[in-house]
Amino acid sequence: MPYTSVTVVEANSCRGAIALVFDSDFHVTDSKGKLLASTAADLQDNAAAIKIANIGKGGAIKAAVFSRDGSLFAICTLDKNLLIYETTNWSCLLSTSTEKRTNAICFDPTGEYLVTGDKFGDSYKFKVGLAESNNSDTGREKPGLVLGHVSILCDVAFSYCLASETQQQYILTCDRDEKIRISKYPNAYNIQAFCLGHTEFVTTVAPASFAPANAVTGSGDGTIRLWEISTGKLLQTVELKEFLAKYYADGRAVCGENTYEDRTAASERYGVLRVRVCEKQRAFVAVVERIPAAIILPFESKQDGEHGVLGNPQLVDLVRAPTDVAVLDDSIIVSLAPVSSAPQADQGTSNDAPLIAALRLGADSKFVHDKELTNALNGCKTKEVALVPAIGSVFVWGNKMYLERPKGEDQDQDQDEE
Amino acid sequence: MADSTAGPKLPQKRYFRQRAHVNIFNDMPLEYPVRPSEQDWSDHFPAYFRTQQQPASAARPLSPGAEPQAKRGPAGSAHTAQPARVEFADIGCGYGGLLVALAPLYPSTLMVGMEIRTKLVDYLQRRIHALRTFQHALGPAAERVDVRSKLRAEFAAPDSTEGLHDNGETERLVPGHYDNIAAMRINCQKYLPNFFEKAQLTKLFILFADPHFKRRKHKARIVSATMLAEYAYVLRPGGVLYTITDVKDLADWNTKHLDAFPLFERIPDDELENDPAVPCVINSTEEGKKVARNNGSKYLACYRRIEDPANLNK
Ligand SMILES: C[S@@+](CC[C@H](N)C(=O)[O-])C[C@H]1O[C@@H](n2cnc3c(N)ncnc32)[C@H](O)[C@@H]1O
Repeated sequence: MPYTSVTVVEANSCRGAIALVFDSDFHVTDSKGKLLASTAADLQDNAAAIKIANIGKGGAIKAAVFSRDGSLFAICTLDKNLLIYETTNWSCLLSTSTEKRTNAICFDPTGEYLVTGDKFGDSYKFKVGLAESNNSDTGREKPGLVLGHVSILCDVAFSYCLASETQQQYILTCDRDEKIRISKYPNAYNIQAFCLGHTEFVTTVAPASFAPANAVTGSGDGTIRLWEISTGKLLQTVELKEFLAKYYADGRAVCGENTYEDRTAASERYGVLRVRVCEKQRAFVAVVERIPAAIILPFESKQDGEHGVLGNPQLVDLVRAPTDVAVLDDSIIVSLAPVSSAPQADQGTSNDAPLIAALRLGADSKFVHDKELTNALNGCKTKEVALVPAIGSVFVWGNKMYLERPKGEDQDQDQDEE
Repeated sequence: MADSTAGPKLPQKRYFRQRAHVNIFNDMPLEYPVRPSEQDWSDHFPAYFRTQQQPASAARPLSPGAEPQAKRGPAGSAHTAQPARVEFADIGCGYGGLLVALAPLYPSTLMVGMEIRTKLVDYLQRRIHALRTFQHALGPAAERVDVRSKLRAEFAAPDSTEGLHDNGETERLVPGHYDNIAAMRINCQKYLPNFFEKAQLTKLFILFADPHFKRRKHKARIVSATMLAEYAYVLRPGGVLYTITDVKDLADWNTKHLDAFPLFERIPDDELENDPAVPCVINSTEEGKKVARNNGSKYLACYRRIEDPANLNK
């Protein structure tokens, strides 16, 4: 039987750990791909690994995140559970549920709070509270409202402090309505700027410590953009089509699978799933729905206080389309979409198809496939299932549906108060 | 009233009614600029902005910081060097009574009414167009209105027949000639930052907002803990947010959230006496008049945008 896909990958260089999320479970490995801990019942004869108590109610995990120092790890699930673990013995520090479904989570820079972004556009913060490691809610600080968009929040992140602006920290939130909001933190009621320029939902926002004045975002509009955080100014737009169209041309990217009622089927779209930061290489890495490649964009700093730019991308081909990407030191880890029904060369049969591709820095500072890490990570099997569930397209929820509607359907959507 | 058979005509409200509620969370085809610098205001304020007709060869500026094509400010105004900018915004302006009343009081200030319901926007745009046409047809020799005393007299006897500012002035010249007001369709809870730069506005009006009584609809309220951050963003420090409602529950909700919001400070009632906009806020909107006719109460609460106390402490 085939194994269920890894849908989220997350890694932390300080802790030297990689988390692979599949359905309602996750594995944690070290930087070599050796299993350290897992929620999955069968620990594959690995006595050294820690069994993690999965206090969730079995809902699929939507997002996973390490704190900056790697000492904490959190997940949120589709059935609205939020769990925080401590990463030495994997005890659960907080298990709670949220009112609305959480789409994104991020620890604040001190690791004091876990900050969420939810389907209702709101962001809450949950006190981590290392001291009381019981799971009762008594005596806990209530989750506080950080900010809200009238939209769906897709991602949340924190800026790195600029030396010149002593201690001013920003929280970056992006939504389904093309917006990225930059708010001061913790005083997030004070909006510093909006980054406006995307023309579709913004799925991901990545601030980097080597470019503290900037953020990079990815969107369903087929672009990756570079911004100035303090002003919201758009500095650069990378049109993905310019160098990814070839994947559609030669049939490696498949159009129209799992998209909204096939209305989007015909078009060649470039929906950015995630942008992550390669701190050591001063680069960003992106993965795009349907495109079997990791896209590495070097960040070229400029002299004299001028803004840096995203340089020419390096593309590393993958055997299948990605679901997510994470970075650990010199390694890029990509989780792969399930084997599609359309047979393709080299993608493996569904039973032994790799779930993960790992890249490492090779000669002349280019990324190359890392066979060893790839094999090790694929050795951590997920769950066997009769049928691997398809991964829904970001365009299904991301698209404003009226755009896809035939003319005439687009009247005012008046609704009476029930 | 002007002759109704020839020349411009004021639209009639009754042809422009629309069901009360639009779900602000729904997707709907709305037009909005990617960013404020790309908003073309020339349709809304033709007297103030050149149309964006550029020579075919001139590519659209790629730089997001580019200023819109703006004419100089109004003739004789003090800010002729500055490009014209909208400074007042009426959120959920309905039929636009506030704008029509404020227009001659602040004749060189640009104001927009923002409304989500298409028919109301359509009505108000026609109304403004008609008022401008009347004004421009009057010619320089026509009688001029002393707006302040006129309004004062009217507010003193609100129950007298249709006031002047109900429909706007059609027979005498008013300052600004209604060239300074406009209506547009926008979902203010989603797209304010697309239209206005940070700190662009000096006044923001939220008058007789929909009460949304049900608890789970509270996020749809125009005033909410999270929306206030956006209002504070578009208002410059020193700018004023005016709220008024006839629903006690909503008034309490508004003041609770505004009092708790660090970037707003309540303006004491005695300070409001000198604010010429306040009588219009209380009396001039269609909803406000309806409340007055039904002898309802009106709860006014005005707040000043202040600097962030968190930054001052540093
Ligand atoms: C009760 S009416 C008041 C109208 C006007 N201010 C008055 O006092 O006569 C509230 C108006 O706000 C509009 N509205 C509600 N939510 C809105 C939004 N998010 N953006 C723009 N207009 C909105 C409604 O369509 C409605 O016309």
